[in-house]
Amino acid sequence: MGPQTLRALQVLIADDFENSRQSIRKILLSVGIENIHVTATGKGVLDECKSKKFDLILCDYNLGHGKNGQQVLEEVRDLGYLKSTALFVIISAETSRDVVMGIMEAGPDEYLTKPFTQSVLVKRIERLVQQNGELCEVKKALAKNNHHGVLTACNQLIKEGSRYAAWCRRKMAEAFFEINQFDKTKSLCQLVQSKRDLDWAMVLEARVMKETVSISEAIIHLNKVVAQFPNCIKAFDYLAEYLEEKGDSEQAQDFLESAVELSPRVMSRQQSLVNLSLSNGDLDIALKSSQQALKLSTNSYYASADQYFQAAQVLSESIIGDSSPEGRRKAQDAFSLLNQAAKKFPEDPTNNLNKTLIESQIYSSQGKRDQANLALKEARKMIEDHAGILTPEIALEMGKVLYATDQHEAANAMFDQILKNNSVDKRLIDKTYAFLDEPVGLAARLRAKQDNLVGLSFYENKRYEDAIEAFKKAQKSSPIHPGLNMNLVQTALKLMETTEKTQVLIDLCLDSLNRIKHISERHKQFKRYRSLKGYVTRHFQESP
Amino acid sequence: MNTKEIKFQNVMASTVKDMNTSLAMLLQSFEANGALAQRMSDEHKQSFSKMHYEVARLQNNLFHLHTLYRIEYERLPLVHDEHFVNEFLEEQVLSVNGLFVLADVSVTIECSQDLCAYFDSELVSSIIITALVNASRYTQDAVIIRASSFEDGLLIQVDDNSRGFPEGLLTRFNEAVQDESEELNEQGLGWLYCNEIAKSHHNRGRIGYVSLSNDSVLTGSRFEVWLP
Repeated sequence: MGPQTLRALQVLIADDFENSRQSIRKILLSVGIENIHVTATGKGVLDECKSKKFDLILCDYNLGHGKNGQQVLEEVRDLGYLKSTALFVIISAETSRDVVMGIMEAGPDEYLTKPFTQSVLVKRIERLVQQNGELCEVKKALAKNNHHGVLTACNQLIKEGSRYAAWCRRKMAEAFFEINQFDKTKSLCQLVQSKRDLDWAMVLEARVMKETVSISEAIIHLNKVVAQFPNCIKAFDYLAEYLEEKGDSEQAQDFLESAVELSPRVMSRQQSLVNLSLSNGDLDIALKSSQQALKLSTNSYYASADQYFQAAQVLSESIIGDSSPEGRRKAQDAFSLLNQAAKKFPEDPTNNLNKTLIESQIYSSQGKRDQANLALKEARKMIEDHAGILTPEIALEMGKVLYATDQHEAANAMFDQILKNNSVDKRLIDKTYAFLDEPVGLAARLRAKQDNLVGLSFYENKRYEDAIEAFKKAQKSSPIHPGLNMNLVQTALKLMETTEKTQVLIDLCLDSLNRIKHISERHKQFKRYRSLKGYVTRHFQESP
Repeated sequence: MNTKEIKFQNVMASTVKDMNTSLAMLLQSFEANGALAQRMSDEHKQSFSKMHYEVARLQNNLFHLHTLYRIEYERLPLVHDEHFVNEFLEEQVLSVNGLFVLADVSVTIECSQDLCAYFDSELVSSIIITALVNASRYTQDAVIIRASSFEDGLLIQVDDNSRGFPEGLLTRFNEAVQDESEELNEQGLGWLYCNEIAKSHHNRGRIGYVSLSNDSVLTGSRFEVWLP
């Protein structure tokens, strides 16, 4: 490559250290690059990129207190500040796995780890520029989401015997998928995997299977991918997505948790985990991931009132009936999140309503009945004033508030609105049931979970009487939890197989089933409930 | 993971980062002053070269240590990407070139322009650098790096014209690789590390390996790594 190509480059260097900026600048000058801008902050990168189209951006991950390199990359891309052939290089001395995974997921054109010598940097830049020149037609088409353009340009390169043929085949396989040519996607994936398995190709194969065979086959294939490539984050994401779609939201959560553990610095994934764990009734995980999402929203382009409300909401639910000092502290935290959200983000009727509802919930959990009612009244007025504001999502929050203020009938009416509405998303149904199943705080849930586990292990060991005691103890913490109550019924039935049928045990079964009457057809445990109830009714209940 | 481990992990990450930065500055100034060193007296030149060598070794060892730590505690993510082998090798040579220039060692790469292979570039880089730093210390005046496709994998050989590896080291290394080892000294451990990294590369049941011999085409020692 001629020095002319390098000389014409418009380059931006971003690093919070003056020394590093200057040393990189000197290196670039020494190879004839003259158009060099420098900046010390993430905001600086945004400003520079807004006013000027750079060919090459060398951005350190660490940019002082503001945005980091990963956040800057996401933002300039989203805002369309980069031209399609721009090269964004993240430079970093970070060695921690979380950071590196986060950077990789953001997908810079190149990731250069410090330390590097002058000659290595120059060589790397020369190659990137040379490669970019060869691939520029493909990159332009990619930037426009022009899949046919990608196919044509890649085909051309392969025909010319380009050394980037492997890269082209990958882009082609992806483009074929986008235009629903699944057979072609599949055969390309097979072609590139003639000598070795490739994680991206296997993931793509699974996506094709979902479209052309079945979601179950796709899940089996993805399981193979994660077994072979335990760091393939995309495989975990798709596994979680497909399992949830299939209705196995608990296993979906397991995989999403693995993905979050693998790469914890991606806010959207943390938020998905909050939602999924909430619909699974797993407040503990919801609490942790909502806090993580909130932390990641600092300086992020994707920050919105949502992360604050979500975190406040999970906090408020976690302290139902908890007036301990810890509970009071969490209530304060939740209030402060709501206030921060109000200050940071513009006012909006839905946000105001959400805020008021969460406030009411927090007051209730702390036993402040008057304030809770006052907030509820305010919320009601907002709903009257703004037609159409009462979405199913808001109805769920409204129901929780009504429930907390002991207006159970009105609460159930709200919940019914959701459960009986066929157009409501499955996840919201699950979230509604998750609340109905266990309208108690985090501490009580954890106690119930623990006692339930104890009960299950007694059951395994055929110590049915001990199991019953453990389940009853759990029932005290979480009185109407379906799984728990059904475990109790099942154990009582088992015990009656071996000992005599006592009225005490029969009553226990009837009482437990009576507690979980709220289970209806769209509940995850409906089948189990129906069969247990049928059995008990046939055997022990006299017909009226 | 408990809090103590998390604390240690954070200390580890930031200390390594910090040490790396210092070493990088040192290495950069060695590189920047290479021309100056050329004009020094032989005695000064030799001690300059010796310092450079030791710093390169330090940096390499630090990387080994940190990698082993990450494998043990962090499930180190392997990033298997496709790379142009020639470009990759050129970069490795460039990053330690100062060592060779000063000692008047000629380094040649024999590899076809378009040879591609799948591997974790950062980890395999640390293997090649280990071999190069070692060769720079013991060779007389030449090093040849040859890469080719071999048995459906990638074979890289680093040959020099030193007096060859001592027989004792070769025996101990081969025993250690077959897991019936006596203890290895520090130098031997570096080679074992390379073998571990090579082993972490696998494809359809075949795993990578490192071997040491005195089969150099330059009649010195040969370092060899094969990746599936």
